[in-house]
Amino acid sequence: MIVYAVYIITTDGRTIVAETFHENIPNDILLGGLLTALQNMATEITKSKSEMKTIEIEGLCYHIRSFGLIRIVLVTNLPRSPDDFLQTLGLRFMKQYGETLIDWDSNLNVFLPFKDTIKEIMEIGTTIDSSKSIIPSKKLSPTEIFSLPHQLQATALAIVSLERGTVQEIANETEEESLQMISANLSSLLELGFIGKTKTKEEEVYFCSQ
Amino acid sequence: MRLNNLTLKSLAVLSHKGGVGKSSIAVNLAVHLAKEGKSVCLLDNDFHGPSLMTFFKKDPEVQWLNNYLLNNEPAENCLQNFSLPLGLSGNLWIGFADPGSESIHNIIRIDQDTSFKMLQNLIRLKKQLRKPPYDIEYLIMDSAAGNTYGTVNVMLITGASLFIIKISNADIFGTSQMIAGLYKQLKSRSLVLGNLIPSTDEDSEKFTDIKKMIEELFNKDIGKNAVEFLGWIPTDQKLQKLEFNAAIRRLKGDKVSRVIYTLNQPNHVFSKTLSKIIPSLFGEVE
Ligand SMILES: Nc1ncnc2c1ncn2[C@@H]1O[C@H](COP(=O)(O)OP(=O)(O)O)[C@@H](O)[C@H]1O
Ligand SMILES: [Mg+2]
Repeated sequence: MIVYAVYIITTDGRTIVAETFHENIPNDILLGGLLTALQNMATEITKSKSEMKTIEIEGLCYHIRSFGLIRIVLVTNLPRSPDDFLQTLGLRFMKQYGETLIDWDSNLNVFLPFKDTIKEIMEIGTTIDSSKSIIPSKKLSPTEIFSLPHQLQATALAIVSLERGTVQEIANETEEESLQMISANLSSLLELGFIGKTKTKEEEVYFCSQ
Repeated sequence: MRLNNLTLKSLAVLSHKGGVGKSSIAVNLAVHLAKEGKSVCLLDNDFHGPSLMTFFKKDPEVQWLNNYLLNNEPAENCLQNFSLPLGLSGNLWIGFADPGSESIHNIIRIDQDTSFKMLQNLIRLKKQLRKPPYDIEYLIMDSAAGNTYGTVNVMLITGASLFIIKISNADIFGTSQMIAGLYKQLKSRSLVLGNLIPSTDEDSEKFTDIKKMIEELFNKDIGKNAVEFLGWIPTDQKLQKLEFNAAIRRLKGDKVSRVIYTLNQPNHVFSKTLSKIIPSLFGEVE
């Protein structure tokens, strides 16, 4: 799972914490999606009283969960709701700022330290997309792979099998191609929008959408 | 160091139309190779019309290949080794497609996501087959007729495609068009074998003429030397009678398996033709 952004929003609609991890998705796209997601959530809530919701907008998944006076919104690449993270974020925020919120004077600076908490929570088990990374816009379906230029097919099959991996891991999965070839093929697949790339602390990882 | 051993050779058996002998040819090829001491895996990838269980007695404990591809059943629970029951010197691992109505129903409604999952699992299976206890040298995949998600998957993971044709108008021109439609995208080598040719005479002059005409058609439709025509297997009248009798016995409730020529009739034209074309099929010429 890749996390693109975390928002904390009050029930009256004010964004009090906004942390984004993605340079390639413009903020206004994220925020536009967020607005739609929240509107959606509002109508849904009056109907169903549910306090959790996942809404997919333009390939981004907005996972929303209410905690008393606030809502946590997590923007990720997968429709599966990241319950653990939502839970941890919500509980940590309420623990740190629950009392502050009750008679809060509109000063946003008081919540700034929570940005570090977010990073700390996210770093366990997710890929924070803090580099110049690109999400796949297309899925590598069998028919798409079949229509690819021949020289890209083996690399595409390897990444489909692994789901994610470094250049070396992907090369190991293919049968005979060189590291340079695989690297070039991965760049082509990235450009074509079939795979994504993330950069964690020390390695570059390529992945396809599930 | 590469994890994979590079000796696994793979073949997809395909056709434009059904009933042209794909399964019979896939089975006879696999048995022939295993009899020669090779490690072979034969997979039924014709989920629309499964048929390997009509040639081999499947152990009820062994799970269907569908369960591996779709329901996360470990692959080792879905493969059965027929080396011992058939007295073969090499291993012959077979994965059976589920002929049950429920499974066919599911296959008909398959979507892109499911076919993606099947592809993913097929690639992983191929990798697993390279390793012990399998150490497979030859992977043969029996497929459905025409172009389905399943056949695309099979073509993607195999090194060569063998198209079986009946030398009849519809099939020969249809196959040519089918390969032409696919060929631009095919990374694998494409080979064509005729089957069910009405005459048994092996007149070599006539063969050369017909071969030339077929190759000309393929050259015109697909591109020069893009496809290799390997020859043909004549219709075996006795086989048709045997199959009929077996079907009747089956209706009466007997357990019968279809005949496999390469098992104990090495001089039958089926066995002779197939053993002759094996080097071309697996790129072992020269
Ligand atoms: N050369 C042949 N001579 C006689 N009968 C054959 C020959 N090849 C295949 N058959 C018969 O044709 C029928 C269809 O063959 P099968 O292998 O099931 O085809 P497919 O898998 O393409 O549907 C079977 O009854 C088979 O025994
Ligand atoms: Mg068949």
